[in-house]
Amino acid sequence: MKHIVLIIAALSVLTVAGTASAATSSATLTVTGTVESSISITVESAGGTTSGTGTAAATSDLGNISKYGSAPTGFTLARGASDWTISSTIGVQVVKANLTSTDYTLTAQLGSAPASGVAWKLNGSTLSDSAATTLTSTGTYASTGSYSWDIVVADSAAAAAIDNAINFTASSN
Amino acid sequence: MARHFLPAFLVVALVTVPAVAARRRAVVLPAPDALTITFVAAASSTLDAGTIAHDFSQRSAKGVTIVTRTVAVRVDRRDGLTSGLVTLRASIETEDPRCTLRVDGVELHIAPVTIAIVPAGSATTHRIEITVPVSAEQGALLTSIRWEAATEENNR
Repeated sequence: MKHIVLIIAALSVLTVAGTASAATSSATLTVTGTVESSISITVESAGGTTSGTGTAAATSDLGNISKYGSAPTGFTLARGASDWTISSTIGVQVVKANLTSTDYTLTAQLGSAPASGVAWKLNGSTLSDSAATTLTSTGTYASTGSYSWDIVVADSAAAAAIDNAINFTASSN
Repeated sequence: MARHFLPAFLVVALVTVPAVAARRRAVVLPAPDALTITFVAAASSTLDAGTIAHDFSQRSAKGVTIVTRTVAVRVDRRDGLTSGLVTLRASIETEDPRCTLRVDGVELHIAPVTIAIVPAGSATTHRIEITVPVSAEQGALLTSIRWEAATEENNR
């Protein structure tokens, strides 16, 4: 009997609650877009007094350099019989987004013709302003690649500014 | 005890039932679907996020690309009344596993979540946030948000 009373009471409560029906509605908003793949390159480090590292436009100031002077910050100086070389490294990082590629190709090219008697080298290869030099064709994304950087100055080179730019280009494979 | 209580309860129940029935007749309750949801100032019920390309310069959003859009939603009562509050809920209707959606900061899932309680008859703006991780593959994105509106009495 106790059970019957409880059941009747429960039904009564449910019946009263059912009277509070309400208005409802629904609608659908479709969201579209296109996810585009991209890569980004940054210069992470370089010899000299650098600025803009971590971006795609870094600057390295070597100051005044000479065969018998001291090496610029972050460089070593080696004197040869008829030339001299300052050496350092450049760290370059390439990252990717929304891309299935597993590696990339990195090239470098000088922004302008080097001063007479001055050679710019990366990874042992002499750079030019007319053609790109491949530094790696199996670059690892999100890892900073370190490339040896040499500037070779002939003893016969005129004392003058050696300003130049190294343009790096990364292409996903 | 129960023997004494049962007849008393039945009497109360019998007396109460006509009263409840009378209340039902007196109150005009809105029928289901008596509300309409309109996306205001939208050409259609489609929101185009455009091209979603990762911005590497935004270091705060490392690892994801976030695109935000605003949508204005108005819930009207078909009886023409503009009074009362409406609970607005949203859920993911069509899922694109490459992105997550948030409305007013609330992450959406398959189960509806309450976004806001809004006045009926007035447009309210809501911020749609589309988050795409950099690990997601490129290509067309297609997802949809199901919006639900219910008058406040439904939730009591």
